[in-house]
Amino acid sequence: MSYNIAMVSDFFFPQPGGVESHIYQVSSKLIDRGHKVVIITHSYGDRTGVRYLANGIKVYYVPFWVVYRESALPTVFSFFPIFRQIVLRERIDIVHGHGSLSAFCQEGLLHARTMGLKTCFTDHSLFGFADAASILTNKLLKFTLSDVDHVICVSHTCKENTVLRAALDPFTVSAIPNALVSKDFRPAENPPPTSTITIVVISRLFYNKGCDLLVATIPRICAQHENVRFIIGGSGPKAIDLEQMIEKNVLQDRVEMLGPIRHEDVRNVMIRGHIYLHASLTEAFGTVIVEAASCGLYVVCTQVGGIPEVLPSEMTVFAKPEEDDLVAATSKAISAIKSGTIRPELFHDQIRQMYSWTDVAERTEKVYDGIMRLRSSRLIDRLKRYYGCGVWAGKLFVLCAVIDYLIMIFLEFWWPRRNIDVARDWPRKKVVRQVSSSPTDVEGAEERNGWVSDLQDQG
Amino acid sequence: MYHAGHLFPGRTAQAAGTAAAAASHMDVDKDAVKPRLSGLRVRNPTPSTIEYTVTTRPELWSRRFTTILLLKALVLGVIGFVILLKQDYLETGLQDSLRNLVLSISPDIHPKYLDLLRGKLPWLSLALLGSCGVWIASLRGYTEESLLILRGLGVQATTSSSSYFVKASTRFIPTSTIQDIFIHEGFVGFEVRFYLAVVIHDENEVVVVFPKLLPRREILENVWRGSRSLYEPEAKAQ
Repeated sequence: MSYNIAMVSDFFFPQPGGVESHIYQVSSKLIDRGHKVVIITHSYGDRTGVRYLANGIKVYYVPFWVVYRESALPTVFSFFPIFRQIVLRERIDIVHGHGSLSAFCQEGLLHARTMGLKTCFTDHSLFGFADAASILTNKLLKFTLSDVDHVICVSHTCKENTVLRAALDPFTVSAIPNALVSKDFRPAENPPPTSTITIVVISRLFYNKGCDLLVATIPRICAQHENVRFIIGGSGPKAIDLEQMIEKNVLQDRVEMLGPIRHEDVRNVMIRGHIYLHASLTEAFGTVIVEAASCGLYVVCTQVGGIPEVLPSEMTVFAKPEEDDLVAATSKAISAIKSGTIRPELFHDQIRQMYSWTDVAERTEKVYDGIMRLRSSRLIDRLKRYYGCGVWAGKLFVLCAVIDYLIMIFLEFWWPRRNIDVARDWPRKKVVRQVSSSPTDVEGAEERNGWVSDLQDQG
Repeated sequence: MYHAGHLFPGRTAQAAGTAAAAASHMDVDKDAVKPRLSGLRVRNPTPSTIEYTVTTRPELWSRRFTTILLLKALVLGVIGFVILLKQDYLETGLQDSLRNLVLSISPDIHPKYLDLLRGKLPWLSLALLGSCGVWIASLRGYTEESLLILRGLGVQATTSSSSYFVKASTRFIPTSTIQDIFIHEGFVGFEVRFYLAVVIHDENEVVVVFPKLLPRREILENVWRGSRSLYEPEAKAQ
């Protein structure tokens, strides 16, 4: 069975980032598996309209005017007309939203449910429960997720967090990790000599990435070990603190600040080092430590969030997110590298087997198989679910859902679906499936190829 | 941007092979099978030219045609009536006799309404009203857009104006300046529509064919195939 999938998110290329590359990679691999994927995002500058990316990924950069940023109420519904058009012309079965902070995704999921489509949501980040922004986001998330068929989280910690935030049934939540393109993160052909140990830090320099911990630990590590150098890549508001630390302790010749690094240059920086130090205070998955291990670096990291699930214990030294423990863990790693008890150059092959986007796409496909079997719920059931979301919020959510439904009826009247042209599909890949390639499957894929029937009348 | 040229020709052959398979699924996908070429007119004035016309012009004496005609007649009638009545040009006492007529039909009518039939309108407003009437009479009520393909010479895109008095806007694009002709899709208002566009040398913007009507995909594909005949030795319409 092959599906027509729409990925909806505010975050997509040309903007760089983890969610963006996740969407791109998963879409690309899903297309390899014979599905059709379109990505719906908002326009970036003059990048408006319909674009095609490699592998036949179709991207709708929806032009959205400023109204949507400034006022709250239109946000809930203003995306519906265009969303409906895209869904109908691409004959979408599954709408897959990404990123809980993406208004586009939340809105898309609501409309998809109103239109009776199957929905899926991937959460990429951890959130707190205490501050005002988190409470608001969590409430909104509860609204959209209370009616989503399935939720995917990038790690088990993230799953736990999402289940608590959105009050979900854990059985409807899966954990599918991120992955990496392992051939872009090969270890160095000639590993640097271990006479001087080089510790690499690559992260955005923000408070939550543990920059204060770095400021505290780097001087102590430098004092304890003679032949240790640091390379710090990335930029952010905390860069100034790090530079002050360097000047105060006169470490200019031992700590190198590289500034912002493009993603394709990350490997070139990583292979200069032996140890990767990750001091983050909160992390849903931590792709960067997988990349570091894949490049053949021994990883020292704080034991927070989803990090402990990411790598096997022989590749990492864990520390509590505090100064003393981090110094001790780093010292342990340094001595392990010096004594040669671990073989970081072998990490790459292990990582390659553990993480691949193909695997992620396969698991995502299983989720799709599951939700396609579910029966779509009636409006009254949806309303009941929304009503249970809270005393006031519940009523508000019900109101939103009802208005959304009325808007859909109006749209059906104003732009009837028979007047909407169905777009041609990009030629689908031949589905290669080891598990079961029964003839019915192939026929199913053929039947869904729109152009077969469309072209018939042209003779 | 994707160029339709790289997409479609290879498929036609495959489609023929699977036509039988598709036919069995006709009931599943009725909308896709049904030809939606209504509104497209193809003419072959000479063996080497094809003209594709997309129009919303109603059939003669069809319901829409008569409705438009009646509406126009109604509006023009009212305007004409006012112009004739408000100015007793020939001092014939037309206004007075009309007032008497109204009074005889309903004697207890308020004199305020009767006064409406009296007096003169300034010439300026009469002229305005008159030009308004002329403008309404000249309204076409439909849009007609065409693409004339002259083999080896170029294409000429025409869009009708809204009024009978204004000439249709026409643009001729010689073959030598055409870089490509393709079908793409874009956002128009709250919709996503297909369009046929011509890329021209040294011009920043493409020329959209049928810009007002933006016809359906089936029509565009038909026209696109016809436009290939620009480069073919023998022109033929499909």
